[in-house]
Amino acid sequence: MQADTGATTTPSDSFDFSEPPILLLDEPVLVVGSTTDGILSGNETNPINGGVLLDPSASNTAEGDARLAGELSLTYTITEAGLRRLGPFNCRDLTGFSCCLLIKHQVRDSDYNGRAIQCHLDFEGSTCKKHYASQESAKKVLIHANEHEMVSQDPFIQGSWPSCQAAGDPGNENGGELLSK
Amino acid sequence: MISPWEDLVTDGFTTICRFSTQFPLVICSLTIFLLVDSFFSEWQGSGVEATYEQQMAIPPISSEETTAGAATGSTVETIYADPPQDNTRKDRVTTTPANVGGGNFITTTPGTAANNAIGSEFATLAGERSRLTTRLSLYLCSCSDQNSIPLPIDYDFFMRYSRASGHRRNNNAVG
Repeated sequence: MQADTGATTTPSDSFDFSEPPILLLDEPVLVVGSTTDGILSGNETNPINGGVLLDPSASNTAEGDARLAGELSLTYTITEAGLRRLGPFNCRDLTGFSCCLLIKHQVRDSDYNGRAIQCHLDFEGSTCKKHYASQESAKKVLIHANEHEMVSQDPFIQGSWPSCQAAGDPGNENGGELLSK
Repeated sequence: MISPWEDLVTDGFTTICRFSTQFPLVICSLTIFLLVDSFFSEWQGSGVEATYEQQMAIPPISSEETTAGAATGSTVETIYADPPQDNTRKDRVTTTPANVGGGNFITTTPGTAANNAIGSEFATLAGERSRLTTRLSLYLCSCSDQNSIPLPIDYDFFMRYSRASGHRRNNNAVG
């Protein structure tokens, strides 16, 4: 929180991730997910999507909550077998988790390969969090060893520390173009 | 032989579908798709509800957002697709010998036995023509007797065809 010193937050302020916004896993991990009904009933808490696992504190806007509640109150139907088009899905004002839940609620049937519809969440390429993830994954501590498996020089970090110029625009978190300084 | 795609440009109206048939009860229709920011995916459904095991199979997790990360994004919108307004089927008209109906922008010719026995323009655009004939519009004409082969045309095709074949006459369009 910025102290009231008369200064204002300008669009050119740097959005520095001094606290990591994302924890990258060393390797992608497979976990057992929740069923759609399990989430809707509140009896299951496992993830329903792959990719980025959102923090539980992320929430929909009030408008998103209202629309999601309306959609989830509708009785789903199992469409007859065959090729069909899905969507478009309106996920405005929803978190990725809620968007996934909305889609899974509407698409209940498995496909011809015996798979339920799945969600993979990721941040859009121009967002700060995606930028952070790219930098974080590229940053490495290099340790040089000789032929005897002994360290031969001081280790050093390759790659820059993650930071991002979000320009004070929270819309960047969801894909807005970064403003140039 | 009247081409099902012969275009007639008349005063204020543009016919984009035409059919030729000897049968008065043939039903033809025009469907207009406005393909704007569509977010469609194809799904080869099995017709059977996914089992719990199938539902619990989710893609691998590669990262976890932190509370700090969620805070920076908690006040923004997550936008995956715009509301389905202009990107789904926009309008559809059907003409039969008894149908002279029309919408705000699309009219059909009077369905008399005479003009349906030989051929008829059955879908005519009027009014907000520019809005409906955008580059991303897709027109699909079809007839129940299969004499008119459904063929989507895009705006470029539509404009070329209009310039090449347009001739003027009163097409009795209503609307």
